[in-house]
Amino acid sequence: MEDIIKVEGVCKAYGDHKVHEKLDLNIKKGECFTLLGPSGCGKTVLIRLIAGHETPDEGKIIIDNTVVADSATGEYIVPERRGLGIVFQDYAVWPHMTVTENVAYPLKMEKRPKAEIDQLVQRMIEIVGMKGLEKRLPSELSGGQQQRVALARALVADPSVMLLDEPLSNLDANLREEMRFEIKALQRQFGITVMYVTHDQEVALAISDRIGIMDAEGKLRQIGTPYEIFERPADLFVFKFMGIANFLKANKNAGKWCVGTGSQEIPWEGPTGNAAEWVCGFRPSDVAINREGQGLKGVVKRSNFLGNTMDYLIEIDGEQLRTEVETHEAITQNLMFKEGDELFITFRALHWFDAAQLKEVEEF
Amino acid sequence: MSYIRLVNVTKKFGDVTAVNNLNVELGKGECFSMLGPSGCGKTTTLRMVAGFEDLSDGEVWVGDRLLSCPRKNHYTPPEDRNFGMVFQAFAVWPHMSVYENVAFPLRLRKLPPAEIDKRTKDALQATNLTKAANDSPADLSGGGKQRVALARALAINPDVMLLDEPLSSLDPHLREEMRFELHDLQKKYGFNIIYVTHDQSEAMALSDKILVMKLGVMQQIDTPLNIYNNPANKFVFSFIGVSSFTDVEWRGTQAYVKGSNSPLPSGIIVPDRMKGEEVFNLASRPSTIKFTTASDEMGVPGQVIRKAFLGEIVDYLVRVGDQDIRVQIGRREPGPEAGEGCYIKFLRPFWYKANED
Amino acid sequence: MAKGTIKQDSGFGVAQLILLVSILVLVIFVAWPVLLILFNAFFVDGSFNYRDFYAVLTEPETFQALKNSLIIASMTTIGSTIVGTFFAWLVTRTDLPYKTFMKSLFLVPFMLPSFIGALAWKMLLSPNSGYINKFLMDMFNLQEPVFNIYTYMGISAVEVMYLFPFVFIQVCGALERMDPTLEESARISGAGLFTITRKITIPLVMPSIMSGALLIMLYSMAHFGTVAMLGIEQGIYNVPTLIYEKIHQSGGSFESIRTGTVLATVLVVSAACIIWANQKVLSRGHYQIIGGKSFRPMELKLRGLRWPLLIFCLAYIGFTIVLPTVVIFLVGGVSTYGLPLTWENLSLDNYKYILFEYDVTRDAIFNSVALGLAAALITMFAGVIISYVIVKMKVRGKGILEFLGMLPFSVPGSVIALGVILAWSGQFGINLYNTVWIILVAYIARYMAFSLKANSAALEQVHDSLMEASRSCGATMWQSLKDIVIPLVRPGMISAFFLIFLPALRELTVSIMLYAPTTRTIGVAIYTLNEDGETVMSTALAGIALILIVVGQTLINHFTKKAGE
Repeated sequence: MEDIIKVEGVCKAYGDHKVHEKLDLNIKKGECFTLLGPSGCGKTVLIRLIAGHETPDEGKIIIDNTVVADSATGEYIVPERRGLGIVFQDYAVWPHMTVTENVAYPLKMEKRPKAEIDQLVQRMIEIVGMKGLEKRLPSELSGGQQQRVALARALVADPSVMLLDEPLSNLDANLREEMRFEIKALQRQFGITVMYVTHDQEVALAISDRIGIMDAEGKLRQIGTPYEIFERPADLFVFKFMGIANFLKANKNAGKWCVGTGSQEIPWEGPTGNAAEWVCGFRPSDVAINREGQGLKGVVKRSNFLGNTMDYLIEIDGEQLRTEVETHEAITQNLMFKEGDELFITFRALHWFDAAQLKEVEEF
Repeated sequence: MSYIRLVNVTKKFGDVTAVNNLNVELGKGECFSMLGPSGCGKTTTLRMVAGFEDLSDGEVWVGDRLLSCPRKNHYTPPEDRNFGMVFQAFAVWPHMSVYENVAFPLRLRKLPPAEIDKRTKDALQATNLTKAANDSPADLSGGGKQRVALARALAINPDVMLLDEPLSSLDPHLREEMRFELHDLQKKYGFNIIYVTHDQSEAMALSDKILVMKLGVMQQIDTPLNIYNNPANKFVFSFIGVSSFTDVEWRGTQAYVKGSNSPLPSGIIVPDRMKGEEVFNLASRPSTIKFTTASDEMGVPGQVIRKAFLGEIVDYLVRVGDQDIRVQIGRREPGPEAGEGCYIKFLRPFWYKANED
Repeated sequence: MAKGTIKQDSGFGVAQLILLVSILVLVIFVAWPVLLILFNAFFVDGSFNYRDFYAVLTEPETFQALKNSLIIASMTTIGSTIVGTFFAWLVTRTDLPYKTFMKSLFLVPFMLPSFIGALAWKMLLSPNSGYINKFLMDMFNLQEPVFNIYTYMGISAVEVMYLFPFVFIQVCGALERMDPTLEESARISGAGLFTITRKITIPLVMPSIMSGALLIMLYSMAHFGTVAMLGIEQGIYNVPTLIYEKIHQSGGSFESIRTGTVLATVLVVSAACIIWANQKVLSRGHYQIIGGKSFRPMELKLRGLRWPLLIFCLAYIGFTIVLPTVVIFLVGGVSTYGLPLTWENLSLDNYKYILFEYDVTRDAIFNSVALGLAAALITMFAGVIISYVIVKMKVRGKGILEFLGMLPFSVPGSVIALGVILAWSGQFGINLYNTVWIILVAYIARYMAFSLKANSAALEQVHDSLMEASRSCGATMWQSLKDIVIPLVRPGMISAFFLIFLPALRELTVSIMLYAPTTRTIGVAIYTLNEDGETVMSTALAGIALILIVVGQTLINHFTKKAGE
């Protein structure tokens, strides 16, 4: 499919702080692309570069086959002529305008006929579920409602791309969950390209067609579908960033890979490749625990009831791992462990990583 | 013999009853959490125990000391209760060093200097603050500040530790870490904890006993597992964890999910107390529903209207009749695709009357 | 997509133009006059000469004026700090009855110009003819008056009465914003209320107390009105009154201007020191004491002292506000100063006369209103542009503007007046001296600080993303300014307008140095009429001024409340 946004070799620095160096990124027409990374990794800067609130020091940005910024030629198109819709983290709805006035503003700027504006605004307000609140001022709306206004305003003028900059992070957990599905539904309904920026991996997994993972230095580590990113992480950084991760140090003992400094063999195929030291990584759901049977023998160091799940900290030969068992399952399958209980562990999936990467990641 | 006793504790603000006739008995060294939505009276209760609010009626006892009893016109001021307290906004004094913050309550007790020094250092040690003793609290992170508050409360060796949403100003990962530290400290020092929070998993993880409150009225007081497994009513069920309430109606002697053409399968037994109700609720949690096949005698037919891959779990919205039900399965479990028909099985259904709340 | 390329950062754009204009405004109105003062203080006949500077400083007269400024300012500061902190604590941390009402009462002294207060106190407590003194002497058959207002003590006491709200407001704000759990945690640690006040509350609000105290110090050092009203008779001069006296007596001779510039330099330097100290106090002591769930803070139960303390507060207000105001209106109603204040002697004749017949006062009222309106409008618009550059724009060279923007805050009124004389009396081609324009120029310089403060505060509230959102919605920069920024800062602009208009209405320090026979302002007219022995007329005009001020203040409150809704 055709690329609607192309970022080519973009560099951006603030003083000595280099945010982006030679960044390349393509976003396909009609997809929902999420840029996921820790705070301070430069994702917001990238959005601002695309929107035109910043100019690249080097490189080129192309939207819909039009060069909007090019350091080589000095070409630069002002934000209002880039045809984008933007939703900000702090909503940025104008406090002195009613819901209707906020949503109508982009159409007024396009000088559309009044009847058309009224009709489009009314329709948009209905779509985002704000009917009946048209006359309200933003101060009379909740955070979630303000963000709906911001969404309506960004969509109403039929932009080629909608940019969303952490739009949910000021909302509470329940609302966040609800809104992410709504954003996804809007994207489907309008068939619009979405570029979404966040540090919350769950939102990214839930709404994206593709995800780009950016590290704290602004480097893209992996781009792929949610499933690829989660199941086939390119490296340890990606693996760790996508959810709770356990790492066990391994040593080679008489040709077998064993946990920590002990002699229990890890029941999984060993690593291939060159690394001085190896760690194996896995998610809590990759672990199967049993009262007896095969596998690595461990001891429960801490047992925590968290409502939906039981949370166990398990020690195996000096190495620790955490796993969770769904409460109903734990009760019905005799998996309610107390501190000090012994148990046996097998794996459903396991990834090998260079131990040097672990040190690098821990320094963050 | 119970150590802390709240007897018929009631608090009125004008016409509003913030806490209504609350009775709680706690053993020595127990960790007790009060859970509920904002405005349920949990913070007011904590402040009454601390002595910051007067009671309208009732008694508060700790050990054999009566602390508050308006009928006997008896009231021990907070400074004489020998409690420790940690607040949501840290409340460390910014004009004193970390050491001075912790030593302050000991100085007020006019202890000999050597003992003040020893106990301050012990408390700092217990909270991993030894290195930061001479720092200004302003230089510490949120977690650091909350440790100072904790050390300050520990130093006096309190009978009861009162915690008012102590973790909610912290980052999620720090929150978990501090929760474990708190647990370890309690084990080590053996004080009672009274904990106020709106985060149910925090309460579950930490407490021996949980009180769920709503609009000043006690809903259930029990162990975490019982609260989760045997909620006393619909409110408690919905407050603990994510929940779906599915409307079910009688058509003749058969129960149907609202809008559905097929009756609930024979494997699902509707309790007798729902007889005579026009509409009632089948309550479930997303994680206690599994996908099954048509041959399962507990399988309810439906259609997947949304599927979202969330990493560890896959989140579904399944439509049965005109009702939407949340289902979550592990990422390794097999499940249908969006738009497909499916059968779901309620592993642990709860039943509530529709008008109950 | 419409293709339109605009080169960025290429030479001289709109942003640079606005910046340049802003810098020019501040330089012409503020920086240049101050520089001229410094230049004239240190350069004699074009060469640097610090000996002369030193010689002028050590003349007995000037040295005494400096000492007096310091003595009066210190006494005023200490007094106001104690009074302001005490009342602030009383209305925020105790169960004093009618607290909210009392809090607004304690802000009333802000409205009363201190020189009008001084005028009233002069009539009440002057040793020869003060009403209270006469009353007491008659009553107890005394030979000597009991009180003498013409002393350091008297001057400072009057200043305290009208300046303490500076501390009161700061401390009230700090106490109200303070997280109550800071005190509660001390309580549960075992501290009683008295210990908490001493060890926790007071130390935590100390930065606010200090900052209020320094503001008063700054104000009092350079304060003209009260000292002029009460001091000159006994030969007590402070820096501003001496500058005025010198220049006034000599008709603007070189010698007097020179003495003036030397004294003004000392004022500028001390003001700069005070501002610097204030920044220091605020930044170092800027404790994070806000936050958390808000509960009512603990209240000290006053028990038996509740009503006596309320009566004390009311008595204080009655004594410092009501009594002087009543005296002003009564004396303004008698035909000759000194007549007993009885019903038969009172009439509205004086008020009629000064409003409709007496050209001096009629002109003064017109001048003050016109000057106030003009200064407020000009400064409001200039202020919003300059603040916009400082707060919102990213242009190189903004640092200069930030520095210049600080300047108006630290230049006392008498210094501005002197600088304006130096700058605008013909040496540089334009002679505004003896016209109303020179007063306008000085007002703009003096009140720029207020406008910058109000407008920057309003602009800080307008988050950048609001403007970026409108750009993304297809609005150009100018459209965004018009549709988004201006509507949002309008309340700030309106409050800046009133913040300037009302003080300008009663201004004395600057106008007294610059007035000509036909360009008197209300303040000048009150002062000079009083000087000339027209006590009754002067007082009646003061009464009119008070009415104008109260009406204006009521309007402000109305507007700001509306804007806040």
